[in-house]
Order: sequence, then C-alpha cells, then structure tokens
Amino acid sequence: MSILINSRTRVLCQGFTGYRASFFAHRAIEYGTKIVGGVVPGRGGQTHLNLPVFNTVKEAREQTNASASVLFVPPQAAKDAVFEAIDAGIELIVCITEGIPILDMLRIKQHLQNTSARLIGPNCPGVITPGQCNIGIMPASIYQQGKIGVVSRSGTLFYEAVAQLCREGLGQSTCIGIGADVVSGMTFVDCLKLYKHDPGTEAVLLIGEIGGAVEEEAAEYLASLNYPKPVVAYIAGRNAPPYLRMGHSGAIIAAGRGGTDKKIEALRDANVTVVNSPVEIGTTVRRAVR
Amino acid sequence: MFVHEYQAKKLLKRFGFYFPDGEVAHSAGEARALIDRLSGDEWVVKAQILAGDRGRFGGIRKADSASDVEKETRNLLGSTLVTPQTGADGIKVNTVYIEQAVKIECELYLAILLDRYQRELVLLASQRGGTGIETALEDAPDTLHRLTLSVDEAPDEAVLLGLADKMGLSGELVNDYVDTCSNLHRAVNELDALSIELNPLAVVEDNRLATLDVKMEIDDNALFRHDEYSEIRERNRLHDRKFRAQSGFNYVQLEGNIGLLVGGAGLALATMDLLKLHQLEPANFLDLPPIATRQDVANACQTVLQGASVDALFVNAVGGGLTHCDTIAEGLITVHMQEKIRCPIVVRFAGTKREHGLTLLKNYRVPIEHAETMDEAIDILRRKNRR
Repeated sequence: MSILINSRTRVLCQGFTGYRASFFAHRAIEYGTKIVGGVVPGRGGQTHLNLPVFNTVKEAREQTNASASVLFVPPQAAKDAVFEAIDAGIELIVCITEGIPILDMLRIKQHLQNTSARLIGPNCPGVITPGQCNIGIMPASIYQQGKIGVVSRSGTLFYEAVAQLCREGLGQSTCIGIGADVVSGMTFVDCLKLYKHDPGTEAVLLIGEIGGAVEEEAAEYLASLNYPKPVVAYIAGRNAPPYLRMGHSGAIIAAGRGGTDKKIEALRDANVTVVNSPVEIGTTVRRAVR
Repeated sequence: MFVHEYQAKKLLKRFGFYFPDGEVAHSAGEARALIDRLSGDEWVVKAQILAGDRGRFGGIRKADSASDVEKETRNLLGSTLVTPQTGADGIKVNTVYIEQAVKIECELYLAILLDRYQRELVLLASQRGGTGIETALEDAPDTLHRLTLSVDEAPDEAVLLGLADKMGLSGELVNDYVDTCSNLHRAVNELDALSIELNPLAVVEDNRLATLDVKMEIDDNALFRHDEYSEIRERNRLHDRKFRAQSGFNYVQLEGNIGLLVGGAGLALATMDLLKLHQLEPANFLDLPPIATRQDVANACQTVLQGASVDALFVNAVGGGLTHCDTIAEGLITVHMQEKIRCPIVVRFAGTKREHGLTLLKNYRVPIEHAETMDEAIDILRRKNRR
C-alpha cells in the first residue's frame, strides 16, 4: 500500500521534450512508472520517448486518462501550466520547477481552493512509491519498499535520511519531497493526514528545517488528535547563520515562529520523537517502530 | 532583494503616493548644488543603507541651509553606520538622499507583505508608526490591524474605510488613506514586491498623508519580468560584501575553521549542526545551485578556501536529482589543478555517481580522505583538528 501514487498511476509530463524532462521521464519509465504522454504547446501530434505529445493538458487527459502530471516547465510559464493542469482535472500535480515568482504561487494557491487537486512543490524533488512509481527527479535506486512514510522540505537531506533508513533495513511506503519554498502546495499536515489512513505506512519521518511554520502546524495537528502511528522528525538549521534566520522581511509577524528551538519544542510536546543529530535519523526511526 | 529608500520611492512614484521633494547625492558638492532644485527651507540628509533604524543611530541629519546640507553629507558619506539591524561591523554609507523636511502631525505604519508563516498576502496597519515600531507592537500587539488580501482582487473599500477609522483619521484624510492602501496593493502586485512598508506614513502640514520612509523587498524570482530591476541589482550588489550571491550560490562567511562544500541547503544546514554537536566550527555556510556545473562547484570551492581561516575542507555530497558526485569531483579537480589545495580534504560521497566521482579524484591525485558516512567524516575531521 501507499499514498498518492502507485503502480497504476498514469502520469503526464508537462514540458516533456526539454532536456531535463526527457532525462527524468526516461528514468521513470525504466523504473516502471506509467508515463503515458507529454504536453508541449505547439508540438501536439509528435511522439517523444515513444509516447504521444499533446498541445494541451485537457486533450492529453482525455486521450490518456492520466490522473497525475509532473511539470518541468520554466518559471515564466509555470503559473499557466499549473492552472492548466488544475482546470483539466489532474488530481496530482508535481511541480519540479524552481524560481517561480511568489505572487504567482499565491495565485496558484488561490486557484487550488475549491478543487480537489493536490500540488506537490514547487522546487521539489517529487514523490516516489518505491518499486511502483517515481514522479520527479529522485534517484530511485536509493529507495527500498517498506513501511516508513517520509516527507521532506529539503532534497539532499531527504536522500541522506532515506539512505540511513535503508542501512537500518527500513524500506519506505511513499516518500514526498514537498520543497522548501515559502509558498507551496502540500504541507506536512496534508501528508500526515494521508499516512494516517494508509495500512502500508507504519511510521512517519518528517525532515524539516528552519523558517516558515509548517513544522509548527504539524505539531499542532498531531497534538490535536491521537495519531495512530509513531512520528519521528529531524529539523535542520539549529546553527544556521543569522542571515538565514532574519534575512527576510516581515519580522513583525514572525511572533516567535520559524526558529528551530520552537519547532522542536512544539513537536516534542506533540509526542514526536525529535532526532538530535543528523546521523541518527535511521537508528531513531528503527527504535520508534520496534 | 531589498532596495534603498530612494530606489523604492522612485519605483513607487507612478502609483500616486505623495513623497516630500527629494534627490540623491554621492558627494557633498552634488548635495549643495541640488538644494536649489528642492522646495522648502529645511531638509533631511538620509544615509542610504540596506538596514533600518537609521534615525536613532545618526543616519538621518537635519539641515537648514545649503552649507549645512553639504556639511552633513560630507559627514555621512564614507562613514560606517552601526544599527541593531546592520550587525556589529556596520554598513558603509555610499549614497545619501536629501529630502525636504516636513512638519509631522502624527505617524502611522502601513505595509503590505507576504506572511511567510500563514503563506498569504497581508495588509498590516498601526497607529504607532515611526521608529521602534517592532517594540511598540510587542508591547501592544492589539494595535496592529491585519487584513488578508488577494493578489489580484483589489481590497474591499468598505473594509479600508473601517481601517481608516481605526487609524483615528477623519475628513479628507479618510479618502487619502483608502487611496494609499489601494495604491499600495497595486504597487505590490505590479512590482512583484514581497513587502512594501510605509513607515512612517505621516499626517503632515496641509492635512495630507506623506510617505516619509519606505522599506521594500523585491522577489528575486520575478526579476525576469522586470527590466527596471537589473540596474538596481547591479548597483546594490557592488556594496554588499558580507553576503555574496555570485554565479547563483549563496555564501556566508562564519567564524570557524572547517570549510564546507555541501550540495543542497538542507544537507548544508544539517552538516553545520553536526559539526557543532562535535565541537567543530564551520567556516562558512554555502548553498550550491540545484543544477550545479563543474565551474559552479569550482567557484564555490575557491570562495570557501579564500575564507579567513580554513584549516580543513569538508566536501559532503549526496548525488541526487540534479547534481551528481562526479560534478562535485570535477569542480574540486579544477581548483586543485589551478592551485594545489594545501589543507586536508575530507570527502564524503553517496548516491548517484559516487564511484565515478571518487575515481576521478584518485586519477587526478587530489589528496583526499574518503569517509563512507557523515559520522566517519566527523571522526576524521576531529582527528585533523586536534593536530
């Protein structure tokens, strides 16, 4: 079992013919992911990687019955591409693009409201259900099938954490890279809600970092109910340089949020096991599931 | 990026804000000469640095004659201002803004900005404008009024009228305030600003609202649709020595002696935390671009090695989506070929192209010690550090 994606998930690729999209789509297909076609305006009717290319997401969805789409479009075109996917009824949109203007992300967030579409990212590595489906840029070879759900804001630290889990013999159910942008789609809370009902997930690992408030929100959510599975968290950035701590505007509304100490405290209060050292992530999860 | 007060005022001019008459000067002579063109008989000479709290720390000087303006400009230019927001080293003043002085009846605070916690656009308004707004609001948080805004829909006028009332405004000032709020929203939208703070937004003589100071942050991600920012960006970057953002990587120099070349911000933060846990001190924070080239890595590596006192270099990379271990290795080799790296290098490679990266380093005889895990790398670094 898994959440969000599995071996039957049919995936489109927006920006399909670009260099990066081609590279990762090829890898995903080799892994067994059901990539069913791509969307590139003006290239409809062509084939790429032996798959059909369409002009619009709507057309692609009608022809292929895809439910997910992965975006490799440049930031200039990202807002319109995400809007198009939402309007075409795509259920899961995974946006790899980095550098999307923040006001565009707010526009996307507003457009997502009142739809059932889910957005992962932007500026994220994607989502993988090991052995079944890999959407995005993650190196599939490091993942193993198993029962730990992993959600991370950072990409490289995500891979490090997964490598540690595998060293402990702990495979993963579904791993989600939600991205570290200020405004993004799915949050820790959204993921925790899905893992809660997934019989294939035995425990959840959250990889957070300094800044923002998604860790605090996760803590608040977990404290509000009797979460049925152990949750372990690692929060990076305790020793971040001051520029990362206060380089941004809006100190007036921070109200004590964003710092690692408060995040860790809130998570501990919510019964989350917080890992102290980044080399102890794997061993801590192993103890939590025993 | 933040922009200077004078740059912000120039950018905002077309949205209908009222600013006192003002001009920029880079020399005392220039300052004296421009007084003839400015209205009024009293002026303020304002240091242009990208940090707040200038007023309380000598960055804003009054002058009531051309020679006075010249004198204060001379005092400020080239001097270093230290305020709670500049850090201990302060910031050198290269530019001043000379503005007609106005008589202030009362000072308000008005801002529209991205709330990074709620992830939404908000309007913030308070009657307690002016210096020390942060502490004023800490003492009395209920005096801060907050309104969630849509990016593209104009704020509701009835709500803005209510806000004007809460600011204690009446008569002509009410419409003036509502217009200012609407203009501010339009400015944020059209300029791709992450924040524009008008502080103070003052009631001045002739019973009108004047924006006396502006703090403004532009979204770097939106530079592609704003040609007007490229000149500002170039100009401001020249004077920003602490925080370097060249060829796409972020670098911050720190106090320690272990240089860090780490792929990805998250892993970089975790590596710093790990060093600290073992009483080792990082010499820098570095965030490589997500798709790093060999040259990016070489530039970053050189920047790290040029840092004040690097006794050892720790290269920590988990080859993943976009940057693989062999690219990191090639960057290291590039630097080593140009000029031998003399300090010990501890390399921890994992993930994509790990073997290839290590083989390359071996073939080019870069003297490294390889660690399988971060734990092992720390052990080696501690051993080296003891010597």
